[in-house]
Amino acid sequence: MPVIEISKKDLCNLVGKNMTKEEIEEMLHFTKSTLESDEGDLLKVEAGDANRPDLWTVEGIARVIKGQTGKETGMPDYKVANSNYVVNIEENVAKVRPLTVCAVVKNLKFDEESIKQMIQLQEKLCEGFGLGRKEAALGVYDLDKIKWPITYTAFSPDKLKFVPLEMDKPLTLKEILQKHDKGRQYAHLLKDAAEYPIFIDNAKEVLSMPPIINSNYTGKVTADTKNVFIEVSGFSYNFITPILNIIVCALSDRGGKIEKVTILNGKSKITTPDLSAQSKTIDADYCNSIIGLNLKQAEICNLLKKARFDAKSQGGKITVQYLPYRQDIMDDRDVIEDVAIAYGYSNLAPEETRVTTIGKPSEISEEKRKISELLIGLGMQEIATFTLTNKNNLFKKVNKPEGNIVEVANPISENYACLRDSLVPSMLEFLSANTKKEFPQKVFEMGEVYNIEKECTQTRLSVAITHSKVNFTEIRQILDNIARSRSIPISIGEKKDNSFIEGRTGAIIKDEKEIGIIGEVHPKVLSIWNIEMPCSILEITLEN
Amino acid sequence: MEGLQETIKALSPIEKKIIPFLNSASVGELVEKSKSDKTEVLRALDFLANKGIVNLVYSASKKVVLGTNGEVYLKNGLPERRLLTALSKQNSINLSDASKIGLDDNELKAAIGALKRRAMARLESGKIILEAKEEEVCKKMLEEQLIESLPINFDDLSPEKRYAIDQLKNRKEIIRIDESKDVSFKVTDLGKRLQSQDLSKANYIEQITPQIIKDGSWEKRNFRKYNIISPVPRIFGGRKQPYLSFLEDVREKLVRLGFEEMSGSLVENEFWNFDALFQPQYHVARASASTYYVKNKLKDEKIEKNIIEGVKKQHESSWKYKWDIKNALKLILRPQGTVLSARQLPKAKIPGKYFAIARCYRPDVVDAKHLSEFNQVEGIILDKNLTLKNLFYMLGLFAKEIGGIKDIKFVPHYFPFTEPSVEIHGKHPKLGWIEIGGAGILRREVVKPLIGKDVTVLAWGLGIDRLAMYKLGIDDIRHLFSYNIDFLRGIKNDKKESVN
Repeated sequence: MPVIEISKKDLCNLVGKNMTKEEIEEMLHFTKSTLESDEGDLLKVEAGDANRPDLWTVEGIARVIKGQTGKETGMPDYKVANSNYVVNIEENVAKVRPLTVCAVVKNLKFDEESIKQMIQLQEKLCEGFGLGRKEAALGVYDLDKIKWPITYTAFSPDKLKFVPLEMDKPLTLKEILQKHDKGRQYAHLLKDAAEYPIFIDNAKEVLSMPPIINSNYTGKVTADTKNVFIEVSGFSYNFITPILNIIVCALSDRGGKIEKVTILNGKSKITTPDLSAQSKTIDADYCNSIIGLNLKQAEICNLLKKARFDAKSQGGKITVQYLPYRQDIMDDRDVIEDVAIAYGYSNLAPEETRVTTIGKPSEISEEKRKISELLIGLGMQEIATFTLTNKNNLFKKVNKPEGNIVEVANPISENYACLRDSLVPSMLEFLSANTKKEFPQKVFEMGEVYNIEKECTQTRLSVAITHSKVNFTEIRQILDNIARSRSIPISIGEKKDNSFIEGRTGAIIKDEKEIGIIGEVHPKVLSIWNIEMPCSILEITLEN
Repeated sequence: MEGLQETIKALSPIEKKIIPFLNSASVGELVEKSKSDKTEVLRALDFLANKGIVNLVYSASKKVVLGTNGEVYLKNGLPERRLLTALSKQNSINLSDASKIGLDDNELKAAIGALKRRAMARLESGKIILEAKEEEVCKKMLEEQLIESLPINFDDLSPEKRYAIDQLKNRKEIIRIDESKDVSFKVTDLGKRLQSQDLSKANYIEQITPQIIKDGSWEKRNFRKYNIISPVPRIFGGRKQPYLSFLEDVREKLVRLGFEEMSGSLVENEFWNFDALFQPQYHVARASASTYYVKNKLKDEKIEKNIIEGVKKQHESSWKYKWDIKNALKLILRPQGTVLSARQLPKAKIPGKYFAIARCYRPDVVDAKHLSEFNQVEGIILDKNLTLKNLFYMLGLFAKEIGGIKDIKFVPHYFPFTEPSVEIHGKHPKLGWIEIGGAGILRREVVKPLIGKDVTVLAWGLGIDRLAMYKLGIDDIRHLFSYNIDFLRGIKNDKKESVN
């Protein structure tokens, strides 16, 4: 989840109340965020709710704190004025990045902190919620430099030049993807496009090439900027609308005046931002039954107001209204959770349940427990090793040709890149780490492997004994003891296996099926692992 | 004279065997002359020293020897030499072509590192570029001189060579430092007096045998006196692996609380892990940064039609996008135990309580705080009329029973599949407030497609590895899967030694 940097002073200003670090930490619970660190005025906050991008901003956090402290409750009131601003979408952009929603915000008084917050909002929302700018890219421009109307269109990569942000000479669109930092970072998003999307104004001044970079002229916001034009581009309103709503509300919280923009797309016409209230009706009894409370409808309404809803009750039903910076509300439960949070989790007294059921361990757990008792009685040390390993351990180091194995497509380390298909390499790895320790060493593991032939996970038992006089008999005695005690009808057949000495290797057979292997490990294998003691190993599948 | 006889009475056969040769110059000579086994001789010397028959002087020595790779490199050249030779021919090599030199990835990395450290090469935009002058290239590197001079006593090493050892030590199997203890001995006056005795006359009973009991010969002979005070070799009994033993306790407690255990495969598909748990197919959590994907192509699971249809409908109506079964069948290594709960829902009894202790995987770099595989304890409780307060009660019970933590608090949280959701924090006596688990009431969007109707399902998961670490008193998470047999045997080392 995104970590955002906020200024304590800025947060307190937005809330309109001085708070200590401890108070802020407590308040952050209402936003599901946690305070990661604080250095003086700088607070690092990890956002907690993947579905509430409005809470990945300091303005959104302040909005919640205002509600929960009673400073300002109910649905916030944002005025959206009409205007004559128009953005024309041309047909050629349909293939590459078809949609945009826009807004104008005036009367801003930017300072260093509010610019930092706006840039952070853009980055975090487009990276996280907008899936690395793929689904949503946000641009903010100096309104006073724009000649209206704006056109959202597409140009071929070599046919247009402009000066990208933080550069001093014009580059072609293609060059921007090759030379500018952001160009290289996001070039893959335009990989297959024949033409690249462009916002351009009536004076043919380029605003930006989404989702890559703004122009250095209109696309640069400084402390002197008073009025801004905002656009969010992408493929689906599900992604771009919430981001537009979140940024205009955030700027409005800092005193900005929101104005509408008309977007013409062929014959269709939309006007954004649309901050009209959404509504949902929940059942008061259902709300109480989920939380385990007995709240009156008026109490539920009050709690909802603290959570920045407007709420009215009528005949057991509660109708809530909320602004579309929230896009997470799908089910009644999404509202009910906000009632519970506003009530306070710490005020909810735990209540005993009497769901009477009969508990039982799985059959394999039970079998493992019994076998483990037996082996410990026989003086064996239980071990636990990793199931993730590598081909080298599974094949080369046990003297076997490379075979089929479950491989991880995106490993972090070559050492942990495959799921093991046998416990034998794990046992050898363990023994090889203990060659300087006291002998005899008698160890066992019951662990999971993935059998790729049968395409299933299996629990297996492996026992390894190593000391100067160990032989086949000793390991066979262990096997026989387990089989006898657990009533597993097994027999031994002759077997050849590259890891073991020929003539001293057996297949463990049950119901005419091979379920394991037993034998003296081949000195060639022992040498590979730097083991200088003779070693006998058995491995047996406990379930199929 | 009587003292001498007492001493003779306590001599074991091997002691008697070596006493005549105690004038030997070394242990080796003593072994040879007495025709005995070296270990036996060493033990006997120990006993003789205890009895004041010899004086022992111990000295430790460290020897640097070639490792298995070192032997190969001695023949074929160190990786950095081979890279340097290749570079000196063409001045720069593309990283992608570097495999042609015949070095594996690790060797190549080590070689580049070694050359960079000496400023003999640099890396730039995917190329290795030669920086060294010709005379530098020809000169033998310190490491090369070192491996050619092995084996060598550690104490005889020059400071430069010690530096070279520090460089090579961390690379795989190039050199090894063998430590050995040497012992020398000198016979005492008492020993000399014993040497003048005819020890073969002293015919004491050693090991008492069935024969001796049966034939009564013990009546005429004396028993050799044992040294019962000196220590004997250690033995180790069977023991449970401490982490597994902790998990076993957890299992037992949950069974006692009425939970039935679930189990499943290590290889899962996205359907049960993400789609059934209401995570849209474009969700960030499905990105490869948090999940291991499986490279292989395996058989597609046959999931019940009505479940697929239910999940598809739910996603499309709630998240408003086109859901595709193809994206749901991609294979992953189980990233969370909740997948087992999802699979249990269609077949769960109502009321019902289920749990799993599941091995899970996450792409994390393995260090003291992270493992790429770990265990999660997860569960569900199904019934009519369950509430958030009931969930809090159960969580409190788990914290106390499993974690031994009494002081807890509940904090709002987000999980894609529960609403309301909660995170449970517990006050640990040493560490203060820590996160011990997450829980919530499963969303109706999860329950309805899988069960077919609306049932209240409390879902919970505990960060069991963390609790295990507290319980076992370890602060490095890797020790849960310790590869150190001494640690598992319960041997406490004064030396700070890795348990891995």
